[in-house]
Amino acid sequence: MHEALRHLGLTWFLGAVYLRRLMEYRADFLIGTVSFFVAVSVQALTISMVFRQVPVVQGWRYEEVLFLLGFSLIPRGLDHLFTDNLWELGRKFVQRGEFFKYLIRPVDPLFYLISERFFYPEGLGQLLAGISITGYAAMMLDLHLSVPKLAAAAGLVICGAMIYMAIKLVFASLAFWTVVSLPAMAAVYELSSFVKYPLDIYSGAVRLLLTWVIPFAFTAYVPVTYLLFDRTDLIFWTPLVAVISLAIALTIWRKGLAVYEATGS
Amino acid sequence: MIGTLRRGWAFFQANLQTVATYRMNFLMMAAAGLIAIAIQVSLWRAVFAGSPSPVLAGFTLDEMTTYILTASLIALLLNHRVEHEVAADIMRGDIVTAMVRPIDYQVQKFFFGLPLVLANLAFVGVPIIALTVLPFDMPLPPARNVPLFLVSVSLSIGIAFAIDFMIGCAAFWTASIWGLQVCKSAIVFLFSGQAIPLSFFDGLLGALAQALPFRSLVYIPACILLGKYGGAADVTWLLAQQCAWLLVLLLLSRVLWRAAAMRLEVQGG
Repeated sequence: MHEALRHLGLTWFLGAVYLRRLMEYRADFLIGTVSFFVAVSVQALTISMVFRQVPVVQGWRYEEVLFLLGFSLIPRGLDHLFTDNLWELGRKFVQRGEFFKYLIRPVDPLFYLISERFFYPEGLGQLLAGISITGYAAMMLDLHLSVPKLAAAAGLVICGAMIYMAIKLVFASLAFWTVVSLPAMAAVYELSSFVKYPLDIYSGAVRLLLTWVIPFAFTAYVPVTYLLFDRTDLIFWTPLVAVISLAIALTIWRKGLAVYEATGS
Repeated sequence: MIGTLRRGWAFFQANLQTVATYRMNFLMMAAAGLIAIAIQVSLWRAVFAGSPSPVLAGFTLDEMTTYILTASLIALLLNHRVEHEVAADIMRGDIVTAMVRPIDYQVQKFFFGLPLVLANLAFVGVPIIALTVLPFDMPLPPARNVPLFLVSVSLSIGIAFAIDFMIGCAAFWTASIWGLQVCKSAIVFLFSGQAIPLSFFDGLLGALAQALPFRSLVYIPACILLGKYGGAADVTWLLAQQCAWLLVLLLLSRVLWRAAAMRLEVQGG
């Protein structure tokens, strides 16, 4: 308990430090933010041109697809904001023998690892872009969410971020066995781009993969179908999937850590 | 001319070994490319399923599927990273050494960038083709369009080089080309026809798409491969447009280069 509180305090402190650093490198922060806005705007524009040809695609209207597009970026951005350093574990830390430094401080190694890139500018840009597009689509839909539903939305976003972190952590941890795990990590992460569009357009195999194997569907499709269409068939699975994914990820992380330490690095 | 080619070959070989070490990057690009194609094809299948007409903006579903694959492959060939090379040269000051060499700077950079283009084709393009065309029995374009397609793509590679070179030159005036590059990538992605065929653009966007040079990068070669042109006169006109833009942009890049080099001399570099 005391450890958890201590790490919470560190999060607060480090958050302030990195936020200040963000403001120092304002140009980088702005460009990172703008680049996601630009990317998602291009996607939104493309979708609008598609919908000029047909009014409905698999039961989804333009504004609803736009809402999904924006919403899919929110948990993604939230996770990106905090856990970007996991990429470096997959890319080079084990290979270059730089990982040991995370083990010699009196802080949890995973916390230390990800805290080095708290408030990563690109993550903030992704988050802001997602919120803007979602808000814009909600306005076009004249969407009015009750307070309990808004609270549920916030909770679902956090579950989504947990799922992203879990998946990244699993594949980053593979580096403890394979030295470099970046290709696998990048490929699996790229699967998340499927969920920016309604899952209904994909084949059964893809839907199964994205729901029960690499559960990205719970970060966007399931929450949005609940918020827009009141579909509740999978909604209660969301927090369960988030917690289970994170539990699995942490188990693999700890196993990998044990392997790393055992080899006397 | 022979001398230039021989010297250029040296730069080609120099980068060939470096490029070969980036196997990981190619794997990732192939995976990302395949996923992007799968998403687009799924989307358009759903759109056509819900459409009263089997033709949208002049494309059938089969043509759209081939277009998506073709556009992805062409985009690979346009990935020189010349802008990074030029900007890096400028930042590191290597630009001075490069200019002293008995070979034109732009020619140097062109040959240097070619291994990457070929490697993209071999290590990303071929796997993508193997994993899409063969297992999924994708509709193939008519073989008779291929020769003209190759001519058109060669022109596209030149145009992309000129544009990227100019972006790289911006490093003379700004601290970092990152922001400029992000904007350029987005604009090119949209107006080259990679996001969606340009026949879907109407109104102001349509006019803009016609006026900008980026349609020569992907849309024109893809249309030539698909046979989407009226006749011999039509295809000649398309190729002429590409040639014209190539000349204009190369000229512009040289003018920009001269301006930048002049600035270097003034600063005593």
